[in-house]
Order: sequence, then C-alpha cells, then structure tokens
Amino acid sequence: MIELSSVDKTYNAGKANEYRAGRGVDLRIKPGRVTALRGPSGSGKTTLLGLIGGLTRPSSGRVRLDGRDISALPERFLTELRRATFGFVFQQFQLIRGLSVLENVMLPAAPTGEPHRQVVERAMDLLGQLDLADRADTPCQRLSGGEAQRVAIARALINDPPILIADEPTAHLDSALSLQILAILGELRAQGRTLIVSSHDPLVFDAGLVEHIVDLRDGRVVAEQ
Amino acid sequence: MRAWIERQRCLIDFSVANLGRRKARNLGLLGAYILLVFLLASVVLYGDALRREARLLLADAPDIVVQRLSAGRHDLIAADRLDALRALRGVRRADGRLWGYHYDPTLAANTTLQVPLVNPPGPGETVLGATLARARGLNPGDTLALRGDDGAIRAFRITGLLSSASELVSADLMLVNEADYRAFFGIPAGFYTDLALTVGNPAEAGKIAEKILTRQPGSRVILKDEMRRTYDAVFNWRQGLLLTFLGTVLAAFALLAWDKASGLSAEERREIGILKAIGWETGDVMRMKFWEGALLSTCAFLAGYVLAYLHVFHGGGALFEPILKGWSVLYPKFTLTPQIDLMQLASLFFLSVLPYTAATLAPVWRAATLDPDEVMRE
Amino acid sequence: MAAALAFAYVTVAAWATPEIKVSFSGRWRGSNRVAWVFGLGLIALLAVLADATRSPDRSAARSLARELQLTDLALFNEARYARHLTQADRHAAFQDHPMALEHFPAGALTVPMSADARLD
Repeated sequence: MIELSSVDKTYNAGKANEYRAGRGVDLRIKPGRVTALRGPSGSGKTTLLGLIGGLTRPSSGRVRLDGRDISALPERFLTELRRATFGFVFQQFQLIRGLSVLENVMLPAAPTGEPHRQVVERAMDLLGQLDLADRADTPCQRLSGGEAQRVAIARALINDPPILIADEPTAHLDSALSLQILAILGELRAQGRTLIVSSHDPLVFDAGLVEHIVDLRDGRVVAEQ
Repeated sequence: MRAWIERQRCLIDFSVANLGRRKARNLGLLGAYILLVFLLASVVLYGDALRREARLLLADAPDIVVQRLSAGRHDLIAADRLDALRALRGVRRADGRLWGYHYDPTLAANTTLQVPLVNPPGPGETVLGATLARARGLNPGDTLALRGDDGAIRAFRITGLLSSASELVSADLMLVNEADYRAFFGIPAGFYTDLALTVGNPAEAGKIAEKILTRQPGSRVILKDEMRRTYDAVFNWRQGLLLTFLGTVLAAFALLAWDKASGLSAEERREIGILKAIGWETGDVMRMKFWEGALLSTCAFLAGYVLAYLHVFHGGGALFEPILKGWSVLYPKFTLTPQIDLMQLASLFFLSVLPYTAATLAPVWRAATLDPDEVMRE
Repeated sequence: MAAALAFAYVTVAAWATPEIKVSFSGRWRGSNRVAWVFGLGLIALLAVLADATRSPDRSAARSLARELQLTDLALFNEARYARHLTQADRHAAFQDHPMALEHFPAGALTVPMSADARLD
C-alpha cells in the first residue's frame, strides 16, 4: 500500500521559474493492481511517479510505503528502496549508450554484491522472456524503440522488485509495439506485481489492463475511478 | 567479504565497460600517461644509476688531490712539495700525477694523456681507451702519430687497449710513459700536473687538507668526498634540460587530465542520474569512477615503469644518449648496474596514480549528490 | 624466473576464475580482464625487480680506476672542464655569469660545485 497525503512538490522554489508540479495530492495505491496516472503533459504525472518511487522528496506532505514514511528517510535507505522495492522504466528509456543490452540490464544489480553468474543467468532469463536473448551483446544505441523499451523493462525487473513504475511506456511506440508492451505489463500484473504507469495514450486505457485510473490536471487529482 | 569482493568486481566490470566506451580517447590518454611515467621513471632511474656507477667506480679515487693555482688557474706543481706533504702526519702516500689534454684534430676531440704509476708503456708505446681506439679505427700494433708541443710529430705504437668494460672511466685515455709525456707536452722534470695523496684515516682528510692550505697557500685541495658530491649532484634532478622538457610534458598532461577529469559532460551527468535512479548509492558511483581512474593510472604506471627500466638498463638509455652525448665525440659505451630503490618505486607510484584518481573523483562527487529525478524530467 | 611466475599466475588465475567463460558470448568479465592485465603487469614488475638484483662485474673498471688514480667519469669530453668535473675550476662552467646559458650541452646537465664543496 502506497499512501500520499497532501503532497506538494515545488521546483525552483522562490525563483522566477518556480513551478508547482504537485498540489495537495492525496492518493492511495493498492498492492497487486495496475494504477494509471492520466492527464495531458505538464499535469504532474512524472513528478508524482518520482515522489512515489523515492527519486525525489515532497516539498511538503508525506509519502508512506506500507505505513512507513519514506519522504523523511535518509538518502541511504531511499537508495535501498529504489534498488529493491521499485523498478523504473523511464520515458526516454534512459539506457546507457555504449554498454551492451546485457550490461544495461545488469546495472541495478551491480551494487548488491550478488554473485555475477547468478545475475547473468537471471538477466538472460529476463531477456529470453522479452524475446531479446539474441540481442544480449548488442550495444543499446543500436536497438529499435520497441527493443529499447523491453530492455528498459528487463532492467527494471533485474532485482525482482514488487512494484514497477513505468512513465509513458507506450509514448514512442506504434500501436503494434504498444500492444506488445501492454501484454508484457499484463504478464507482470499476473505475477502479482504492483504496476504504476503514467500515460495519456488511449490504447493503454482501452486495453482493459488498468484497474485504477487517477486523472491529473495541473498537479491536482481531479478524478479517480 | 565475498559480497564485498563481488560488488567491487561488478563495479570494476562497469568501469572497464565505461572505459571501453570512449576507446580512442581513453587509449590516447593511456598512451600519453604511459609516456609521461616512462620519461619520468627513465630520468630518475638513469640519474640514480649513473650516480651509483660513479660512486662504485671512483670508490678508490685518491683521498686528496692537491693542485697549484697560479693567478686563479690550475698550474703545474713542483715535485718538491711532495716531500713536505709526505711529512705531514696521517699522509700515508703521495704521488705526482701527470695528465693533460691533447686536442686531436682528426677526431676534433680532446683526448686525455696520462702516465700510469704502475706498468707504464715502453718508450714510444701507448695503451688506448677502447672508445678512442674505436673512434680512430685503431688496433693493437697500429701506430698513432700526434703533433707534440714542440711541433714535432711523434709516433706511438699501440701495444694494447684498455678493457671495454671500463669505458665509462677510460673512454678517451691514452697512456704513455713519463719520458714520452714530458717530451710531448714540453713539461720539465720536477713538475707534475697535480699531486694525489692517500691518507691513513679517511676521516682525517679534512684536517689534513686544512693543514696543507696553511702550509702551502695558493694550493687547491680537492677531497674525495667532494668528488663524490660532485657526481651526486650530476643530474641533480631539479636541474637540467631533461626536467625542463619534462615540465612541459607534465603541464600538457595536467591540462589534458584536468580537461578529462573536471569537465563532466551533460551525457556523463545524465548517466550518473540514471545510475542513482536505478538504485546506485552516491558511494557506488564514486567507487566506479575511482576504479576507472585507478585502473587507468595504475596501468600507465606499470607499463611506463617497466618500459623505463628496459630502456635504461637494457636499451642503454638510448633516448638520453644524444642529450648526454652533447658534442662529445668520444662517447663511451657502457651498461649501467640495474638497481631499484623501493622507496623511489613507491613514490613514483603514488605520484602517478594518486593525483589522477583524485582528479577524476572530485567532479563526480558534485554530480553524484544531485537528486536522481532529474533523469525523469527530461 | 619471469616465465615461471607467468606460468604460476596463469594456473592460479584459471583455477580461481572458473566463470571466465560463463560470461556472454565468450567475452571475459571486465574484472577478469583487469585481473589478467594487472597480473601480467605485476609479473613484469617482479621480473624487473628480480633482474635488478643481478650485479654485473665492475672489478676490471674499478681496479683500472684505482691503478690510474682516476677521479672522473669519461662521460662528457666536449669541454675540458666537463671531462674532469671534479678537477676543474669551480667557476669553469660559468665563466660569463652564473645564470648564463651554458655553451656545451653537458654544462646544462651538470651543476656547479656547491660553494661549500671546496676549500679554495
């Protein structure tokens, strides 16, 4: 269970370019379900995902994970959370150029001290599930959009996190590829993971995957269903 | 412990992958780094080896050399001073030395004519230093004709060569007997070039030197200790062309390293953000960058030092020869005694590895403490 | 010596890193490559250290120097004062001015005797 209570997030506070990306957000996200944040660009979806996943801290208000206030945790524990509890799929994929697909997928496991062989096996397993096994040695800048998105998903799953956060997972893909990604998300849901996605792509909402829709506008929650 | 090692290994894996991503740039940097360590280590090893060689070879040099000064210049010294010196307490032995320079127009070089105390060559005979013989293309049995002080040409039959193992001290020597020497240079009997003293107790050499100066004013007294110090100061590495030259290289390299290390590109900042977002601690990012810097610089150190060693002790310091040689025509062939000072090795190591590694870490620290959500907001 | 070390290292490394080939498409892990490169580098360094313990025979040169009462290395004979550095006038290399650039290259490599090194 993730709870946000009266969360504000202000960037560049007190400066001319001050920007309020979150205003008094109250939200409960239940485990094991697919939650989608919906809204036009600039409505605060990404900011909210960042707050939920512990990438940034709220300017005021609280974010609780299973009753524990994570907005006040020291950086060390936040890092631990990002590594073990959340998997992130970023909008721009954010793979590291020049590293191979396998190396990218293994990145989040590097600081855990887990035996290398084990990590390689798990990574290859994930890549196999995502139909990427033959691309393991490809430098990731040579991947197509659909492949890059799947690599990003594999990377998010390498530490087997219970919660997956995906920012606009279909934004750069055509319909066929979008459906493919949605099918993968459906499988992850079936594995019992909590999925939190943001999107303004109707395809995502028509697929019947999303169980909880949160409508956002100007940093506020305007509707929930 | 196993987990710790595995973690470092994973970080090293990514450091290596990272270095491999900018292969041309990093190889160029490595090359420049190796060259720098190589030059620095070569200078240090060569200078040290030469100093040690001097100490070793000249360990048995005369304890005291007495010269006569005339109007501030070195002049011939009268043989009768020998008796006065022998009479001094603590002086065990005193000999007159006969040596001098002869300009050889064929070679356009100075040779050193000297009269050995023991086993002098016969009349009209000479023994040559190996370098000189080689330069003139002379062999035992050949004849060497030189124009003496009086303008007359004198022929010397070569009866032998000094061993080529001793070239470093004997390159340009030409040994003749006393009578030939005096006739050749027109030096009357009763005069020597200088006087060499052996003392009973080397610790007393200074006291004896002072006594000589009071009894024979106008002398110059050179102690063995001073000779040693002279060679200790040769290539004193604050001095000289080599280090000026190296200074330039060092400055260029510092610029290069500074440029590479301090300027984190937007790309690198973004990557640090990604790493933090997917669960790397600031410390992990720093450790990975530390390994990057440490691997590159340690690699450069190992390669540079080993190459420098090979260059100095097995390649005869080929790069330094033209510089040392200068305008010398009679340049000896010699090999240096290899020796490694562990302290020096350690200081070279830290000098080459620490600054670079530190320089790579400093800017990363700033970037690695940023909020990782910047990555999401692009 | 170096060959023996290299052999020992290869054996130990092969034994200690069985996952060398486990890595993808036969490529070694970065840290394994590092270990190999550095292992070889260390062997080279050890070989160099071992090589540095040999001491060539200098007895011939040394006894010649003793017999002839030599005081100097025959390293620079381009100028007379450089040929016998220890026997020359202290100021010989710097006749014009202590800061003047030296005429002979050797003069730029060597230093004048320090003021306290001579009694004259």
